[in-house]
Amino acid sequence: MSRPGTLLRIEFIKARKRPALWLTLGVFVFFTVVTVLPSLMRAMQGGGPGPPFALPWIWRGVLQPPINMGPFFLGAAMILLFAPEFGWKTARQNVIDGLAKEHLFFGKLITFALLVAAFFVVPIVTGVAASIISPEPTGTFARGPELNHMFGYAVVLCLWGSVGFLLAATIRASGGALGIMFLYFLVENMVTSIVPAWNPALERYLNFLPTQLFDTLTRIEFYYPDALALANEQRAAMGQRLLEFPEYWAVVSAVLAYVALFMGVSFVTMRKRDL
Amino acid sequence: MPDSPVIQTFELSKQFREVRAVDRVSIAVERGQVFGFLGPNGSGKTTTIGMLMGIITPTAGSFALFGASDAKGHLAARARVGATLETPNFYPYMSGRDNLRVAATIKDVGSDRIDECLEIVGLAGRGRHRFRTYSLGMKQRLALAATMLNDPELVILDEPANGLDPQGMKEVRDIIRILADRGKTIFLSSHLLWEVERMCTHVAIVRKGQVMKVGTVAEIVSEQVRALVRVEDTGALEAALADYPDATGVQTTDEGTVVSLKSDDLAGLNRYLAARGIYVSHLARHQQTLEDAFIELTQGDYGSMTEIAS
Repeated sequence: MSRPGTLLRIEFIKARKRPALWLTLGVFVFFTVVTVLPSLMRAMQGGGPGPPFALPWIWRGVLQPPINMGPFFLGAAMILLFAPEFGWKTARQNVIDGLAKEHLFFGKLITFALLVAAFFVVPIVTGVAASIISPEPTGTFARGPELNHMFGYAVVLCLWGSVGFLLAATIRASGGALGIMFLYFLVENMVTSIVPAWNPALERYLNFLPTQLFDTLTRIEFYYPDALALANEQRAAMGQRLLEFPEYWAVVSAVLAYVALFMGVSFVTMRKRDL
Repeated sequence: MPDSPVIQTFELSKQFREVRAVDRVSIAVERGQVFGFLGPNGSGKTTTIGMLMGIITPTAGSFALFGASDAKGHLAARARVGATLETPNFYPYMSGRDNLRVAATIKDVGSDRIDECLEIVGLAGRGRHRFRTYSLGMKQRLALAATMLNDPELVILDEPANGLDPQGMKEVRDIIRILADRGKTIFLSSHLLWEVERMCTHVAIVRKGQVMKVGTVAEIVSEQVRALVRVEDTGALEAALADYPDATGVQTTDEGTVVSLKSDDLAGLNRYLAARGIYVSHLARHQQTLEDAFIELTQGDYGSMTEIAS
């Protein structure tokens, strides 16, 4: 058996009976259905204002809060599947049994990829199913903006998954890692709301902090010009500052750079630290 | 490399901040030996095994497993090893069988071997139960089953009888005997000196990270001639022995006074004492046990003597 095949089998045996995984995934599926159901009901009762609730417009209705909390669920799932391996000393036993520390890392990388795939597929399948059920006219699967939206969602899944990965590999305890993840989320939001008042020039840099990038990539205004125009119209009417976003690929590249950085630090930590 | 020692360490050392946990340990374990690795708590036994198993990176020195001394060779050599460290390390939410399946997949062993190993350790009937429901004895036995999965040439066991009741200890001892009878090389770290003395062919005694003595059990315990002397006035005996030219050491024990001698001339010792008006009620050659040697070499390090004697 090839090494990737072995690692996949090992991770499958570990994950399939892990209640934390199925609980996290189950809660996410529930949120997905809860998000989609009201729009679907509305569509079945003749539809409302705005684009039809069917392909390809459906994605702006599906990939919105609370589904956008998916990345946090994924980060939490990653921590719950990885960090206990240190507390239970099973990571140590896996190495004693014959894995290299690098294999442990790559095994968890497989878990990471599968989690990203699962958290990506759930809203996509739900969206397609809702579109089939919806009586509104169905078009193509997705156009440019919708594809960007989906890719943006996949990228933020990777971002928070890699945050969970990093915290699990460095903190090595589920409670501590989850606590730090949520604490970081709060602290970064505090910093980004306080610092611009002190020095406005820093705001454009703060927009590239992980949580701000997450915020950008989960806003429908970032992907759909009509939604941005509508939002800015309302903001102008209320005297609020208009929404402005960095370039799509600048945001995506920044997120992917974070993912590479977090995974790189995790790899070095796994390799260097004693078990 | 058929002639290479199964385990060989060269000045192996590990520093944890200010603590030197392992200090220039050099030992060689040959094929077929049952090697006891003895030392008080915190003497560096588990850290040494951890370095051999690739979970702890040495600060200095090196080691070879089956003659392989580089990282790639160590990884390949670990496929020929079955080991467990400290407490049994398994996934609590998984059954014993699924836990063994993880180990078997890593070791590239078929599932039929899982059943065989569960049978050997007497867990065939509990294989489908979750690990968290196992008693400590069952957990230890599952750990032994995991070490046997790949039919290893070298078995490393770190305190395998920890926390077990006498029946559990006997079961573990029986399993180790089975492995030894099958010609496996066994590296056993333990506090239980009488167990080690009964099972091991070779012993290393470590103290504060350093190897104090290494050799066959016979070499460790019988290098020095000793006499056990009982008299009414112990003070007078000790005063007299201070001038006895053949005495190299005197130790008072519950049994009497143990005198280390340069030769086995017990009659000469008796004459010397009688000439000074000290008449013994008991004078006999005293066979040093592994426990005596251990206490002598690690004196002052042990908090609880009952742990040694148990």
